[in-house]
Amino acid sequence: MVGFVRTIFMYTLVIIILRCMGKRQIGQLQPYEFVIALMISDVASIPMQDIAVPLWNGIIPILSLLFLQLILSFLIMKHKSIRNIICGRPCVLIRRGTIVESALRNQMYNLDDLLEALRVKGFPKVDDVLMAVLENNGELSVLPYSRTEAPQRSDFGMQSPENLITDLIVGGYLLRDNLALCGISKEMLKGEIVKCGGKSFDDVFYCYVDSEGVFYTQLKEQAR
Amino acid sequence: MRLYRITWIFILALIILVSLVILPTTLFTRMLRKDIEKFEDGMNRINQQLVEGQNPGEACDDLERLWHSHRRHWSFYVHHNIVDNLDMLFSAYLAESRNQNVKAALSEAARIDSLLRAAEENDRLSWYNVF
Repeated sequence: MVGFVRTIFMYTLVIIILRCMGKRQIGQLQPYEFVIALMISDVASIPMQDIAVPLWNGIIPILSLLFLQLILSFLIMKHKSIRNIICGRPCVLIRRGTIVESALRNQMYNLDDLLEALRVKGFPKVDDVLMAVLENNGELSVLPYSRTEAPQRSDFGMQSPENLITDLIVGGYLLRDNLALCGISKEMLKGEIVKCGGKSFDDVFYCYVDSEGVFYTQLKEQAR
Repeated sequence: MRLYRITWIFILALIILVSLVILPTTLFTRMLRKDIEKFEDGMNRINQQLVEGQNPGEACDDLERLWHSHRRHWSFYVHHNIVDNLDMLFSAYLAESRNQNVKAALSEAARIDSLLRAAEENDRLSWYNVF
């Protein structure tokens, strides 16, 4: 039972800590963030597994890691030189259709990895690539030559109306903020729901409105 | 230098974090040291009475009460195995002392003393402990 309570406590603590560290921690990690995320998971698991270890011995290192992470994030945000040292710098691996061998060596990135990453991005031919940059988070950004890019609507002089979609009801739950944002009243939305055969907001599974004022409403299965 | 709102939030977060980590740790280390001194005083009193051939019954009761009142909060910070070992050693020491078995009691006292010293020393901030 103690183990169960400890697990809940440590899980909650790690969730709070990761939220304090910001969204990047969950998505694309910088090297120093990756290290901290790894260490936190490891440190949290020790007092969860072994009830002889005081919980405090798990909490102190996690809080210390958060402390270090905050200091590093702050310094990195303020000083570019520190950012370069800790996060590194993006590295150009392909320039004007030519692979930069020295950059590959420096980054310990082999040719197979590069070709694979290019294929994943949809560029099987190296000479289609104007520039490929290895970002600090390990992602390869590819900038193709304009001749290989798909034509855009603007190339043909066609208008491209921006159609922004705003969710209004998700799983029967009314998003009041979005309703106010779109300037739609509850009565108006209810009218739309009635048109689709529903009776109340609870009957709606998903509903959105686009920037032209067109509603999309899908009722819940039991309300159809 | 102009400080932005986010800077203040960072500084505040750092202060809160430092207080959360350093304050309880320092307080507990100090508490641990005081507790150890109390235990040692109690043991010295019993040992003295044993050597002088007196019955240390009352002193044993005091030390037993002292240990049991501190045992719980020791588990909050000290590894539970150390607390369990100390518990066993205290039981043996108090039993031997009540029986006025001087040699065995002094031997148990020495073992308790070294374990208490280790518990205190493990948490002391020093180069040896850091590395």
